[in-house]
Amino acid sequence: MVEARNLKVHFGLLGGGLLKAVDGVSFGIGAGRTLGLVGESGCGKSTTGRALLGMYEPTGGEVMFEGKNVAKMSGRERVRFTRYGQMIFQDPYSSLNPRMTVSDIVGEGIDIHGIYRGRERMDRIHELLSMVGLERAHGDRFPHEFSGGQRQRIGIARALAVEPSFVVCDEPISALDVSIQSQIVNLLMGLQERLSLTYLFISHDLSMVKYICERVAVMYLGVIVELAASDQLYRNPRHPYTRALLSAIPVANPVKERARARVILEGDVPSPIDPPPGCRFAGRCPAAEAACVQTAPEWREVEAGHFTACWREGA
Amino acid sequence: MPLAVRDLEVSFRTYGGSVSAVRGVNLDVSEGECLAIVGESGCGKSVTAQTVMRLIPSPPAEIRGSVTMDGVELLALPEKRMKEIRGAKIGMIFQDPMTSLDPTMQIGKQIMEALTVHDRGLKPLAAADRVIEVLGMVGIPNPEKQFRRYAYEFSGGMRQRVVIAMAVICSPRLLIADEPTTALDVTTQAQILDLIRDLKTKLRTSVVIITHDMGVVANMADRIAVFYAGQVVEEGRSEDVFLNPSHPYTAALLMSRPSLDWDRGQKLASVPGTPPDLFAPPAGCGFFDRCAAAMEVCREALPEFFETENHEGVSHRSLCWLHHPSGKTELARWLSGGRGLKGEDSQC
Repeated sequence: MVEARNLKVHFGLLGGGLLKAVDGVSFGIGAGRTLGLVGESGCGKSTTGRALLGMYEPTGGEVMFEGKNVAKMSGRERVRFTRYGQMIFQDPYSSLNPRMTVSDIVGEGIDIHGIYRGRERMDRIHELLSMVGLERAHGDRFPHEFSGGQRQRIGIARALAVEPSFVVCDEPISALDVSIQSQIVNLLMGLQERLSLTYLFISHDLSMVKYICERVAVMYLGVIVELAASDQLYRNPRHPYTRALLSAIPVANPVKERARARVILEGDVPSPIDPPPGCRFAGRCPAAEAACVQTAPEWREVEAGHFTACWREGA
Repeated sequence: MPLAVRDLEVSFRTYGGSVSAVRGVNLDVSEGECLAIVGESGCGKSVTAQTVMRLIPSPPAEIRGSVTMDGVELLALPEKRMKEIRGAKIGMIFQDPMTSLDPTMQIGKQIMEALTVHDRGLKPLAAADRVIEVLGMVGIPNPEKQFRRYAYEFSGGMRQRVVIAMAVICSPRLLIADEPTTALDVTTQAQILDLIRDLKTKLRTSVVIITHDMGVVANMADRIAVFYAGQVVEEGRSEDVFLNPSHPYTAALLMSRPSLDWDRGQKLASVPGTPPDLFAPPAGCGFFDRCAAAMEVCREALPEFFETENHEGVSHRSLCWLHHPSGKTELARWLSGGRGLKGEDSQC
């Protein structure tokens, strides 16, 4: 339903240099499915999510929505696209206008797209609030009167107000407490089933992604290094970065945790400004050899439905 | 015993009334041990740590109870004596390495300051050598060169190493790490946790690590204290608490995060509701409103600590009426009074 084809988003920097935030990523998400996009901060996962919704113009490549190229849509098609693709933001504190009441925040999209008016509009807002577990009376309040978890519910209601089919969830739970995270995750999964939504779930929390997503893409420094069904990816990671990432997550069980072998990476993620030509991970990869530094590895299917970009795959 | 906290109560007076942030906490940390304090935001874990460091000004805060380090009562110590302990005997690592360093001071100088404050006779050159040695120990490459650089020139992980260097330069007896990896990425988190564990063995220091991440706890802790609404609700050896949680809150906390080793189809339990308002702390158990196993007694009376037994005997303690020695009869009595369990199906 949504597809990125060799999508690139580059930012020119003041004083020269090119920040390649997203540098050629391709993936598709089927209707009603969830794709997880994981990686460390600065790897370009949020930029990818935003570019999918047309919030950034791609520098190269294209975004297809229901078979149409978003960049070539006519004005009317584009407006329709802004309705069917919605976003849930990471920070429930800064993503809600403090001067608007909750009903106005939720109702803004309904007004812009002219979906309902008057009584119907209020009924729809109340329906949305109850759908995300808030009460009718909450509609007249302002965002500062709510806790983090409740604000995130408001953000979800706002995204769903215009009856979208595709929702980009950009780290929707990382600002929340553990016991509240599970409430929001269960809410998102329940809504997906009820409204047959398609999700792109962006997160750095690999255990949560495994729980939520059917397929997972791992990003590193602007490129996708591995993409597979989540069971497959977690059971049999092929790319050295994925392996390191998985082994870095602590497991909440002291006996297993102490017995685990780890791959600890050295150094930090390099800068995405003018990155080197070869494999992006070569500088930190324990298995890197000369070929890795010179040419970027190809994107290959190593098993049915399991893709990775690594010269030394299987080594 | 390097650190003993007894019946600690901290409350803050605000315009909206008095908030009881810490409500009767007891903790012990023994030599070379790592104690993890786990809990959600607002449960009083950071306030407890800051009270130990005497970083909370009183007044306005009201502090009762006792904090002793090697038998010395810290809460009664004059500020001048406390300064000799802070940094030298107790080191602290803060959550956010971006804001805990001075942006206008070379990092070498900053670390040196922590050293010379406690040893005024130390010659600058000798101090600088010591700083370079510690920078190397925390894994900063080319420490001689990095000495003159500023905090903004470092990445998050490297900055946290600088903060750690500052905390351990006087070889403290106790290291308090308040969410040391929350602001970092997972691969960097693994590096930093490894470093703290390494330093703990090398310097034979005791560590108190504050976190909300059960994975980090499993990785680091010898013992765990679970905080909820300003109280310790469960406390014991790491294995016992993880594999045999006896407080409903601990159990819920463990079940509300999926783990990588979960089987497909295992369900996330979500805890309904939010923690209680500490402006008006509840008379009974703080978890009452959110607990699926709550009894009528839990609303009315504050639970006591009960020892939990496993197949090897007594293992750990938890603040929950379900473990009352006459638990079963007690339970039956409440049930026959017609005011029984809130019902198993009340959990969503």
